[in-house]
Amino acid sequence: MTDAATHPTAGSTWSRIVGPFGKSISGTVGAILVLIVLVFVFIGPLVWTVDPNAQNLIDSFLAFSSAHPLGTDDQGRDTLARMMVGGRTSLLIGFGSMSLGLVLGATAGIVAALRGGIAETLVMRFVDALLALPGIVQAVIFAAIFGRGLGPLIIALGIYSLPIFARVSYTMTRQVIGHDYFNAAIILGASKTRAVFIHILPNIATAIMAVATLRIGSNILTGAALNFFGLGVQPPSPEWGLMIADARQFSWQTPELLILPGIALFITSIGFNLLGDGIRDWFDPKLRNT
Amino acid sequence: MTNILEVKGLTTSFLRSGNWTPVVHGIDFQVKRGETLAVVGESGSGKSVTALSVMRLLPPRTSRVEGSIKLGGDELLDRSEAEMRGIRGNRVAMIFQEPMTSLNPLMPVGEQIREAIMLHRNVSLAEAKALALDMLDKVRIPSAAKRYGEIPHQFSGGMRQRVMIAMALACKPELIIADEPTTALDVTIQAQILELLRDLREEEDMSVLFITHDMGVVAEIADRVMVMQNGSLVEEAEVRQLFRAPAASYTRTLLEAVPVVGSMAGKDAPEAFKASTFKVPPSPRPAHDAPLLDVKGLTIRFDVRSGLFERVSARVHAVENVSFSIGRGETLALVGESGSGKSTIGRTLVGLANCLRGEIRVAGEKEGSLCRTIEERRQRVQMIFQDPYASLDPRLRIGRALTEPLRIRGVSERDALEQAAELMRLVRLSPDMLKRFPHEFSGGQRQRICIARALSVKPALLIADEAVSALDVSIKAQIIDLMLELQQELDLSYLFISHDMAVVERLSHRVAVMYLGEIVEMGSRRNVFENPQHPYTRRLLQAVPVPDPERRMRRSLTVDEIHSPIRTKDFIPPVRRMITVSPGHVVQQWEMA
Amino acid sequence: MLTQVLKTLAHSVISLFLLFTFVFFMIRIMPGDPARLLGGAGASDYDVQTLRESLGLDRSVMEQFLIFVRNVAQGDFGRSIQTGQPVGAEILTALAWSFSLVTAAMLLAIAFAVPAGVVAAVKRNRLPDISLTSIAVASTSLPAFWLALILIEVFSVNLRLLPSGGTGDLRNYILPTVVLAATQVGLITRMTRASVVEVLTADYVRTARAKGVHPYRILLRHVLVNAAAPTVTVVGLQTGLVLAGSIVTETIFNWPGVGRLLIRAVQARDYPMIQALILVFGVAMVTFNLLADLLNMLIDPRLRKK
Repeated sequence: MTDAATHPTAGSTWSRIVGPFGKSISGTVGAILVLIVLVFVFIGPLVWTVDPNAQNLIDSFLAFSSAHPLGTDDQGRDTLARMMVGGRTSLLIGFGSMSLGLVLGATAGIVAALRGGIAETLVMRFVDALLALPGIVQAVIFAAIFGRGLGPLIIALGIYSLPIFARVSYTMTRQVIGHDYFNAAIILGASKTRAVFIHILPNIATAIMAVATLRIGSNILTGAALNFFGLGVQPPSPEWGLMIADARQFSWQTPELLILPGIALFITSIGFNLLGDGIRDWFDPKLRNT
Repeated sequence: MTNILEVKGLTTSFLRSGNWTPVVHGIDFQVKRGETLAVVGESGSGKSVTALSVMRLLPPRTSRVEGSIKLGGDELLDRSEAEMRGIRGNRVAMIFQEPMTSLNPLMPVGEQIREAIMLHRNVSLAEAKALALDMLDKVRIPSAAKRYGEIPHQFSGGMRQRVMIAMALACKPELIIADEPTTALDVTIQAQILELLRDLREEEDMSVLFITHDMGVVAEIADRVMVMQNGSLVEEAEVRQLFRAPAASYTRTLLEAVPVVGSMAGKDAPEAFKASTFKVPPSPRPAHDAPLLDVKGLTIRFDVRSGLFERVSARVHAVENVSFSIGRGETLALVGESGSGKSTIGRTLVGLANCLRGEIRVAGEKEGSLCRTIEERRQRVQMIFQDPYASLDPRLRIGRALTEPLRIRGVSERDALEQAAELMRLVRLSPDMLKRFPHEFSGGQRQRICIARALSVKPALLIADEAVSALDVSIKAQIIDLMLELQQELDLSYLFISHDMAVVERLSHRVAVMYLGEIVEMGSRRNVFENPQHPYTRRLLQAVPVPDPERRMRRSLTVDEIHSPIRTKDFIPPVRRMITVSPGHVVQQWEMA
Repeated sequence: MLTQVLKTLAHSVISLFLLFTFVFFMIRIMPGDPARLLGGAGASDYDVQTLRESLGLDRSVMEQFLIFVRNVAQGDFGRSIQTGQPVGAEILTALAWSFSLVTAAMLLAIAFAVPAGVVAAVKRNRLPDISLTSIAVASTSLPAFWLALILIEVFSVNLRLLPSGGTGDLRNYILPTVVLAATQVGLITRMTRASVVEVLTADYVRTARAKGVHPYRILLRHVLVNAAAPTVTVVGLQTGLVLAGSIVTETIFNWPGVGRLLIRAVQARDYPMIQALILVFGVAMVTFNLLADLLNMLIDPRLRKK
């Protein structure tokens, strides 16, 4: 018997965009946190126009004041400005590497699911192989291969994000292919390429978006760890992980230099993690427990 | 007679987005000792909620049960949760719909029954085990002692439902609530379970609250019936009374919409439910006309691989040497139970599955294809599926879903939209709905849209794979009528794949009965239904519950299982011979048992 | 059951081989010449060339690969470019240190996360769930290296309660164990919660309630066993990953494990060491996954068939 209650019914497009915020408190909190971080790192420097790299040794280790709301570091650089601009780098690392992993991984996953046969075996075995190494080990090796700096770091983290996107898009695509609406489209004469754009992409987009959001958070963390070890972005460019590394030797004197960037990383990461969960809850309640 | 269960003013509400919404509106009913009361209704009628309300199994935070529910004189609504635990499974027990998921998959079946006994009876472990074993015997599970320690995984659906019944009966409850206990089962298995329930009712003097959507099952098992609609009681009557002279108009519509096996006896043509609106001619074309679809020697097998090197260890003989043809404007029904291969044939005809051997030819094609769907057929053979919820892309507006096949073929957007509007009118929906998403439609409307989408490419043959099986009775009747009308308007042929004998009898010209991948009997509908030859056809027809309590009959109590089409890899299918009974009526030769 | 295990093993070996081949060729694209790094700033081109030949690095990458495969088949993983010692012995010692740390961390994580996941599932969408789930999210969002520094700052520098690194006695285990466990708590809690929630809504749990079974008994006899598999799998997977992946923790706490070994090998372009470590990591992953599979087969008889 058909039971309307077993099939999730969504409201209009509008209520799907706005309404869901009420349904997932954690998602809403995540969205707010991410928004705060975005405003802080992108709008902040427009308001607080102090040069983050301007050294002034006389002003080193200043406490919080109106001239330097978050004080200064060992070289007298303004901590607030460095936090803002450093956050930009962290977000760029997170977003850039996620996008790279998404494009490559999703393409591989969808092709593997649609094609089957050798393509499927090759892609999925390779993905398994990559997943057999911890992310940080992959990142360390890739970072060593591609050299130091922002670009290589993004490429390294991008490759290390590839398997998860390939897995998710593979599984989701298989799910769509299993539905009779996909069968109907094929019977009605749609080519597989057309089916990808009309049926597959729209239906797997939210799941991938959720994973992508979660991935930004974890890539920011892994990126910061690599920067901390000197395997990524090089000084003097400000970046949260680097700032923690710099603050380490003065932590007895100015613990806030150690604490502040860590908290920024923590908030950013929580924000993206909660937002990712929220996207899943809002758009696809069935995925909630996966 | 005393009342075992007395329900007064039962109102059940659910907390939905902050508001208490009642779904059962103050209903009264009683179950007398030794009586079976059937609660019947379509989806959303509140019948299952009523059952769960009596058991007090609804989530306490989001549901509210008001009124009075008295079991043997004790008010259940006043009982604490701890007291209810002493009552559930002891004085009132429940059998659920889904045998495949209702048993704990990791606990031996015997243990699950023993657990119920030990909860409510002060017996030793050994005594409880003995009692549990008795119960397995009582529900006629063959070699019960051996199967006591097996997990549900090793049982078929029918056998699992027997275990569920044994568990419910274990503590000799005053009342059994059975919620659609046979709905998920094949028809021959359903007949066995119903028979078992009737026997047990006499042996154990059970009182039963039997929830079902199926009027045939009601007629088979109920003493009294209450009909529910939208959470309210529509009518309550003694079973014969209800079928003979339904008082409420809703009951009448419901009964009119139920196809009755045998009701078409003596008629040659399919018949719409609203028979007054139009007539279907008996035979669409003279028999010597070239058929629209001709299938010869179709064989479909799937390999089962296992072991370290994924070697073929067995084969599913899904379809074995099947031949049939369909004329223009004709409906051929493929009927059979699970594993009969009927759906596989449909999927192969549209290219969703590959076949091993055989020839498929659609009229107009230069040559038939060996096992492959050639592109030109794509347009002429279309398909509608069982689940209307899974057959429409949830992210595509209906307009887009209907124009997409035309756009693929290079029709301009404006022309395609015009045609889509026309298609909507064809399936009796308003073209204004084209802007909506699938979730804004009901199941029946969605199935209409699926039909419209299939018709968008002007096919000659429509394959309907259990296309009305998931729908409520009244909606089912409407869709069948629509299909019959469209058949006449557009001169369509149908391959109607179904397990529902009554529906098949209603709308088909010819019928092919399938068992384990083979057609065991094929002929005109009249011949197959009125003069069935093959023992399986007879068994199938006999198993269908008849929605007429006057024709209630006892069947022999069997524990047959439906066999599996999985065979060893060196299995060679026997060569079958078809015997002609009368012109156009053939039956497979069978061995006498 | 044996075929099942063998099949998993066969799949893993293929994956491992792919992984290893990939890494082998990738690390040779790494910028930086190990011979020059080893020779130091003062080495002449001739010295560097001699060194290169003695290390076998003058051969083509393909040749190097075949030689390596042959040697591994004979149980020889090569000598470290940095120390000249056989890498096998060095890795074994480090592995023992990592293993003891990871065992402690995983036990601590499980001890918190599994009960937390069960409680969150049972009390879902209520206060205990919300607070436990929040802890889980916080745990996955914590930068491990930062947490380690803060803990050192508080417990070693300020309170002088615990050593800030190295290996001495059991007190040395406390901080690194806590940091590693903290990174794992989130995932295990969420996985346990998700599978318990799923089982709680299963039809057979409703059947048990309809029999009158007490909620605690339902949880113990019907829910937990059925919900165990995903948690067992994820713990197996994570144990393997953490064993290899505790680079950050090991480096900050100066723990002589395989993670720290890897970071040093990468910095020195010590090819034999990196190769051998990757192999060991892969084998560790496979082993722990297999152990998890076996445990699941013990719990669920259905997995033993077919």
